[in-house]
Amino acid sequence: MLSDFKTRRRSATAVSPETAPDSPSTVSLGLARPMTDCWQHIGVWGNGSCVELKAHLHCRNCPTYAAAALRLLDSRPPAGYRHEWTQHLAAKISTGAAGTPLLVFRIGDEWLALGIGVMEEVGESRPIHKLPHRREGVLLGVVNVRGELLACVSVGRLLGVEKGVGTGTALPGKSAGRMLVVSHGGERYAFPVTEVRGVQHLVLPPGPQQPAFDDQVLGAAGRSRVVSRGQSVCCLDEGKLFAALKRSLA
Amino acid sequence: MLFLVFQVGADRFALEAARVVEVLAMVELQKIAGAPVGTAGEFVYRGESVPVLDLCLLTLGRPSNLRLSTRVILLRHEPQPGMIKPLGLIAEHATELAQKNLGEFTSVGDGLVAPDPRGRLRLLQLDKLLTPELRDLLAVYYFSQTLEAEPAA
Repeated sequence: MLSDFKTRRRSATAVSPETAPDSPSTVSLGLARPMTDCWQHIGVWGNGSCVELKAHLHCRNCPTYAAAALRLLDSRPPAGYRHEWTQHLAAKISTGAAGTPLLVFRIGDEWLALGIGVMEEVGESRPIHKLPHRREGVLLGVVNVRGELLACVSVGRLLGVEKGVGTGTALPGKSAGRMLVVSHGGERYAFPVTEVRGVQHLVLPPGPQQPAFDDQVLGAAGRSRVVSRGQSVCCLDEGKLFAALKRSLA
Repeated sequence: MLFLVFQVGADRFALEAARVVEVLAMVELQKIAGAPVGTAGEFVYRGESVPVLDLCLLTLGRPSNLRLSTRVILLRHEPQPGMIKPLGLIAEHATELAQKNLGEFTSVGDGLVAPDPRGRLRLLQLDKLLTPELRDLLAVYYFSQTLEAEPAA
């Protein structure tokens, strides 16, 4: 069906524009009624002489084009179509993935996860405007997020992640990194990260986990460590993280 | 209000979108033994059997054409107050949506009709369409379903 359409389009380009409106050819889709493919002749893929184009600007905005598209659905279903749908609909949907939905991201070499409840936005990295006399420390400066100035912090520095984008040692370059906007209890911060993997459902252990003596990240603001896709992901505790951020900015 | 627009023969009908669970592709249906005219059969939706009525068969006496645009509208049917059960309706050209107010539908003859750029739009009143035999069938069908479900619960 689609191949019919493609060959039709190709051959239509060969039709000279002058004769096209007088002898509109038709698309054959095995339908009862023939359909005029005016968009190939007087529309944007033809000579553009259609008077309706003034109102609709492009054929895809035109009701005639939309009606023609709907006519594609008047064809007979392909073989096996009904059987496939019957099988697909009979299967039960698994009732939600187990675990807590968390946004998994990376700062430097450290994979971190934060509850999606505090996540407001995952955006492109933007220029960070530095503040005078604030060259060291967790506060990197301010960023413009949709016209609003937000404090941009380095979660990497806060947690003691040493290398990479967002750690404070290397600021995000032109293309690298993302800017996350988080809010919790009325406080909003933006912070750069190296990479965002997306929302994953991770099964967290019930209680808080005692950090190993050399696990600085988990000790600073973590709740527990879980293994996801072969990598150890440190799930951050929202309360601890925001409290630590507030302390470090004061 | 949003309405789902479909055709029964040449007539265009509207159904409140709020009642629709899902618009499904045409599926293979199992016949229900001894079912009255208007029933198309049943199929399994997410592990649950759903009876399906054919609107064309019900109103025009011929089965719906088998096209890609002919679809099964799965809706919440309320056979008794407080009891909501799934019911499938086969409708032709179930491809459009329309934004209408209920006030736009005026009583013409025995139905409610709203004006529309492409002719008139009739409101589908399922309660009027269902014959006593179909009501009985659905009542028995849903009752036997609850009986089957109880031992498992």
